Amino acid sequence: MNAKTKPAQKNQGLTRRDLLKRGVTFISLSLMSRYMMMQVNPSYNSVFAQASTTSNSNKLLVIVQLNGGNDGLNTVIPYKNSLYYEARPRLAVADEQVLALDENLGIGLHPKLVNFKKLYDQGKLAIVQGVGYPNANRSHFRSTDIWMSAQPEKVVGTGWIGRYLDHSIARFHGASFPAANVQGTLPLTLRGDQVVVPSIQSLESYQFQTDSRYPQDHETRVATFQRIHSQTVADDPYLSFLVNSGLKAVESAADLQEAASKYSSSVQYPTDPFAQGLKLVAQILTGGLGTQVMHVAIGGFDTHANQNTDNVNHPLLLQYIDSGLDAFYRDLVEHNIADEVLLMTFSEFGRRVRENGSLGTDHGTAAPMFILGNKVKGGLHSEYPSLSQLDNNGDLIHTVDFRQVYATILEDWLQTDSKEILEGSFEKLNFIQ
Amino acid sequence: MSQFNSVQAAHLLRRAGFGATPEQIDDVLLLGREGAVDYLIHYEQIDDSAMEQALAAQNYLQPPAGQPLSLPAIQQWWLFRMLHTRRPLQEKMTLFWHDHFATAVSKVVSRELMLQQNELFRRLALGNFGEMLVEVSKDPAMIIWLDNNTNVKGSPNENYARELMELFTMGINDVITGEPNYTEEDIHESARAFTGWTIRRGRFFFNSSQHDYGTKTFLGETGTFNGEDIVDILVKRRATARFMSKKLLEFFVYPNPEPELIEEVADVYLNNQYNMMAVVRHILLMDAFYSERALFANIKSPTELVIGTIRMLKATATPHRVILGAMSLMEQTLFNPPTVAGWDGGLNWINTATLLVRYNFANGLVSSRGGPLATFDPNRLLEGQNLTTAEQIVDHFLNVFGPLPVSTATRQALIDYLNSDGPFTLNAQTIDRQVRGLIHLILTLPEYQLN
Repeated sequence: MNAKTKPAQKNQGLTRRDLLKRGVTFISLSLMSRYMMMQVNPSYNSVFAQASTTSNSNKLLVIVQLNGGNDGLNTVIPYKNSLYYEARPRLAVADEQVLALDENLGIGLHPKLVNFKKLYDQGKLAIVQGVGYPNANRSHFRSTDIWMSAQPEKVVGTGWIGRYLDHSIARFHGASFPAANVQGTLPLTLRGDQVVVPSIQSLESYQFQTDSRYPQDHETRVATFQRIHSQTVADDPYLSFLVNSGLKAVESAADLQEAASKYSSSVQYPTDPFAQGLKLVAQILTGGLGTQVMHVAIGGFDTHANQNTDNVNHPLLLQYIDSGLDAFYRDLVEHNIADEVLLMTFSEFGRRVRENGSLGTDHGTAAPMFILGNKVKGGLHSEYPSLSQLDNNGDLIHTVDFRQVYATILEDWLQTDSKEILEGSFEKLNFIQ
Repeated sequence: MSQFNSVQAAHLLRRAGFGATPEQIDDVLLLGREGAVDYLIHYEQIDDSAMEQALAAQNYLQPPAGQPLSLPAIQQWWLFRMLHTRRPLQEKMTLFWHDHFATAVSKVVSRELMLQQNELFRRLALGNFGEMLVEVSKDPAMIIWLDNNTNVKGSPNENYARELMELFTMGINDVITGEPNYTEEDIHESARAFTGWTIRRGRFFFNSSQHDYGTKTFLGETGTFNGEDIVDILVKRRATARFMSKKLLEFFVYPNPEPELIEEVADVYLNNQYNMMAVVRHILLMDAFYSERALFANIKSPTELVIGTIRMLKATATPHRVILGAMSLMEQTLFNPPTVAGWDGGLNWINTATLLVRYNFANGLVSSRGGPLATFDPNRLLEGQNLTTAEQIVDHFLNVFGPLPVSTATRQALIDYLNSDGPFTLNAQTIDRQVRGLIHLILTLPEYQLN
């Protein structure tokens, strides 16, 4: 199979760049200033209000990336399989500690995942087992790109959600943020050709910052910025785009601050960065900003050494995701939007079945995905990969393609035809009610 | 003798480098247009050993024992060069080639190989394009990036052969006539010529047992071609001359250059045996380069913005990880372009999040009074000036950071900002407060985002 390296947009019709070359001033929706919209359409505010309550805008998606390659075998554990204990004499979780999900199948959760177990028992948590793709790539970067772009065979510049947003552009008419990443750089997942998605580091950073030594000057400086940008009449397309985007940046930052200030919750999120990122996700989703898809990541899963004992170790990471997602779910319930949110986790690969010589595990292939929400069909989906029939590297052979999971979410949750977005037909799964 | 004023000198130093201080602009102004361009072009005559020594002392390329060379380390190594070099055009061309032959660590993985490729771009920055193409074809990072290590006799991988024509030399269609430059058959045939060009132990290796020695027909020529022969055929094509001329004109002059300009530069390329020094020299001396249309016609890339701002502020700064983080958030991670086509550039740099990062990065620098990020002292930009009124101060700084061609309304808003607490007077306290604030506002102007 030839890895084909080519920018995606060249294969598509008119790109944003082409439009600009043709002299058409195209402003992507996330950059569209509400001020400008109101000039075009005085009833814009009411249109905006409608847009956020019609179509599928009450189907929200949160994507959680477990960065580094999560050890699926020590997450969803085949605790009755002797091959597991043979392959991992020092790293296996003892069967009596495993939180059993299915006694017959011998499948259970790592003991740190106590809240996952609770949510599973309540039918709120679906586990898709053995997710991967053919010819698994074991490079972090490349495999992450594959999962994010949903294109295992070529390098492209757009992600699966980015392409979804491009396809569904009309749905996001006037939204402050159709989609957003929190913390870190914008993942490929959210990159499209037309809709531009921001990456919000924190409430503090997504605003116009001024000299902290003179906080009393903040207002004057922002007002001067806005005065300059509002009064600049530019016929140059670059300058006019910069002026409009600058105004929109400051305005959307104000929207975000306002949404965050209105947010209140009795839920106490843990203090770790991941849980705080989830809190920011909740603040945005509950803030009426028209946001449909959000992405947040937690790193550290590249556990090559001492994975049960190091300072940042696998059990601790599992505890972070367990307590973080539990707080997030309770917050959704408190805000009455637990019916409207579907959360999925993914990692670029699982890890090798056999432990290595450093009390760790090396890069592997298939791993489970968690799907959380009131509208999921809880339980185990797909098959646990075989521990007796491994590939040439000693890695699991996937039992389901990650693009089947995406197709299910696109079709049954986001109500969109998945074929064009995924460039192919993938058989759907059954984890959404 | 061609006209050469300070606006043009500042423009030259922005495009052929990363921006300059008023003193540096005055220095090149004395050389005249041709003298200034020759000074920049013949950078090998400029002693840059002080930078090399300072760079070596940073030990970026010596990771702590037991740790691999990291991506931030090689990014810092390169940014340090850009910040402190006396040969700005060499680094600017290195950046051009990095975007042209865009190769990403995401797939190559090895930081050592990425660095080695970067050194190739620097070594041949203004060298012969044919030589560059041969060396790039043998470059281990490129071989990994475009899968030529799987390109073997009987089962060619066409990835490199295709991109060599589509992105590195001619483009799919002739940029003047629009005629197709090659066929799928030309891709098959040239891929055969590159079979067996692989790597072994991190170096180029010609695996003769995997090389297809058969006869190939490529772009109408027939022979038992190898990769060098393919490059020889490509480098002399007028389509290549036009494609490279257009790309360099867009990089240095303005978007969508006129066909006549492309043809003029293409002639220079062909008449000088693909010597990039002659081509870039010609471009930097063209009247079009100094025309109204060219001034501020591009959007600053994150690299240009970050390096230029630090240089123009005369700030003391090393490429701290905060700066690397800001550049990634501005969506330019050096050594990791998004695709083989490089960064899309232009308006694609701009969205609400990247703009806020630009504004806040500027605020961070301007508010740095010491600490790990930078030290910025506004007095260094006021030395030798005799400024008293708000008008004079605004005009001075609009000049320092451009000169920026702003409207009278923008100028007035900045003056009003200084006067917002009553008539402005310059003293230590107002320098620390309002002058820093003024500089931040200037760095957030839409005009400042332009190059």
